[in-house]
Amino acid sequence: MEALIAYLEAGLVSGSIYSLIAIGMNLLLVVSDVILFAYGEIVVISMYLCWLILKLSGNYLLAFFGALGSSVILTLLVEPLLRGLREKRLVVETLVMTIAVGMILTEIMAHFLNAGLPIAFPPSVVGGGGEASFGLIKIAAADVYVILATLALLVSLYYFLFKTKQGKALRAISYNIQVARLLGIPLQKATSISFIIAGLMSGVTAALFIVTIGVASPELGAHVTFKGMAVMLLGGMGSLKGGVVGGYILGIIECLVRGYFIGDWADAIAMGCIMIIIILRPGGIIGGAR
Amino acid sequence: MLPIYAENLLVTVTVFILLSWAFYLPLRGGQLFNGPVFCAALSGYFAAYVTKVLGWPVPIGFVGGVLFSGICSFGLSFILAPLTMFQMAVVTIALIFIVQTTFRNLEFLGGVIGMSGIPGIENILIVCAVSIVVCVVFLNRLDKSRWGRAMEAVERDRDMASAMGVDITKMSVVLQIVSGTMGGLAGVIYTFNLGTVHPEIFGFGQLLYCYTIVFVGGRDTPWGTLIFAPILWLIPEFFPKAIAEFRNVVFGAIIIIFLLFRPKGVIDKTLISALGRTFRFRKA
Repeated sequence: MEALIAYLEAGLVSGSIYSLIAIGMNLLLVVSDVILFAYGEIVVISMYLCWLILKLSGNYLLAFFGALGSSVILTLLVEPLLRGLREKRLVVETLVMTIAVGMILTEIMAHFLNAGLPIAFPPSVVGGGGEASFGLIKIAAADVYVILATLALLVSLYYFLFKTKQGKALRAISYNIQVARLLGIPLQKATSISFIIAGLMSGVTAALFIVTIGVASPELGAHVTFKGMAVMLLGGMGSLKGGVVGGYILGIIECLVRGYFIGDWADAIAMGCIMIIIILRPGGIIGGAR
Repeated sequence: MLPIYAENLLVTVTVFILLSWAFYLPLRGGQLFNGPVFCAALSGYFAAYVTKVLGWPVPIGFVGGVLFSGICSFGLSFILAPLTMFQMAVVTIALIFIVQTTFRNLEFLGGVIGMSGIPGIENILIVCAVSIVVCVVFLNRLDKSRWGRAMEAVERDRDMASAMGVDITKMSVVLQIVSGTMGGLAGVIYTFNLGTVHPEIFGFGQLLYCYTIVFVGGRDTPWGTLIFAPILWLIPEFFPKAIAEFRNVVFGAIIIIFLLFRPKGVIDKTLISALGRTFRFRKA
C-alpha cells in the first residue's frame, strides 16, 4: 500500500510536467495549426543554457530567467520559418520543418555544448533542498514545487484565455480562423502571442526538469517531444483540457509500470495503452479539435 | 567487380531511394506516414532472426522480411486508417520510438547490441537494381492510373474527393500497406548488406535523410527522389572529416532552405512538362 502511494505521488509529479509539455504543444496546434516537434529540443537547450549561466555566474535567479528567456526567443525564432508555409496551407511541410529544426538543435547540443557529454546540475539545485519521508513515501521539496508551479500556470493560462481580450481572440481563432479574420482580430499578433506563451511554458518545463531530474543529454529532447505527443494523442489533439487529463493519466500509468515491471518497459506499455484508447476513441479521451 | 566501398555506397543509396519512395507515396495522398522507418526495422530484424538463428535460407528470409513488414503495416492500418493527418504523423513517429524500445528490451534479439554475423547476399547489386526498376515502373504506372488520379484528388481536397466517390479509408489502408512493404524491402536490403542489425539503425536520423531527399527532390513526382538521393548521399562523402560530422545539421539546414524558398522541391510537375515541351517528349 505504501509503495502504491509512493508510485502515485511520483506519477503526479511527472504527470504535472507532461501536462505542461502537452498544453504548450496543444496551444500552438489550436491557434497556429502547427505541431512543434522541436518543443522538447527547445526545453533541453534551455536546460543547457541555464547550466551554462549557473556555471559562469552562480546566480540561481539569473539562470532561471536565462532559461525562460532563451526558450521564448527560440520558440519565437521558429515562427517566421513557418509563416510562408502556413499562408500557403502546406500543413505537411510545416511538420517537416519543425522536425528539421529539432534535429539541428539536437546536433548543436551534441557537438558544441559541453562536448556532447550529458550535463549534471549541482546537488544544491536538484531536489529543491529538503525532503520529507513517511516510510517508503519520500516527498522532495522539488515535487511540491512542480505541482504548485503547474497549478499556478494552469490557473493563469485559464485566466488569460477566458477572461482577457487577447485570450478571447486566441479562442476565436481556434474556433474559426476565417470568421476571426473578418471580425478584425490581428492574426499575426495572436500567432506571436501563442508562440510566446508556448515558449514560456517550455522555459518553466526546463526549470522543473532541472529541479526534479537534474541531468540533461542531447537525446532527452526527442523523448520530451515524444511524451508531449503521447499526451496529445491520449487527451485529444488540440484540446487543452485533454492535455491536463492525459498528462496526469500518462504520468501515473508510467510510474505504476516502472514500479511493478522489471526492465525498461514503461514507454512501450504506456504507448500500448494509448493505442488501445485510440482504437476505442479515435479522438482521444476528451476529444480534440484536430 | 566493384570495390567493396563503392558497392556499399551504391547499396546505401538504393536503400534510401526505396525508403524515400515509401515516404513519397502516402504524401501524394496527403498523409505524413512515417511508417517506412519502423517497417524497415521490423523487416530487418525478422530477416536477421530467421536467417541467423532459425537457419532459413537467405532468399526465403528476404521475401519473408518483406512480407512480414507488409503484414505488420496491414495490421496497423486498422488503427491508423481513421486518424486525421496530425494524428497520423504523431502516432507513426511514436511507433518509431516504440519499436526501438521493444527491440532494446528483447533479449532473444540481442537487446541494445543487436545481432551480427547475418549471412549476406551474393549479387546484392542486382537485387538493388531489380528492386529500383520494379518500384519505378510501379510508381510511374500508378501516376497514370485511376488510383493515381484519385490520390491526387484526395491530396488537393479531401472532402471533395470523398464526395466524388473516392473511398478515403480504403485508399489510406492500401497506401500504408504499399509504403510499409517498400520500407520493408529497404530494411531487408540494408540488413543483408551490413550483416548486423541493432535498434539505432532505423531511427530519427533516417527519417531526416528521407525527408531531405523527398522535399528537396520534389514531392509531386518519383523522379526527384531518384535523382537527388545519390546527389545528397554522395556530396557528404567528399566533405573533409571536420564537416562530415555535421551531416545532420547540413541536411536539416537544406530542408529548411528548400521549404522556405521552393516548397514543392526542385523537380515538380511544371518543370517536367516544361522539359517535355522543350525536348518534344511525350507530355508527362
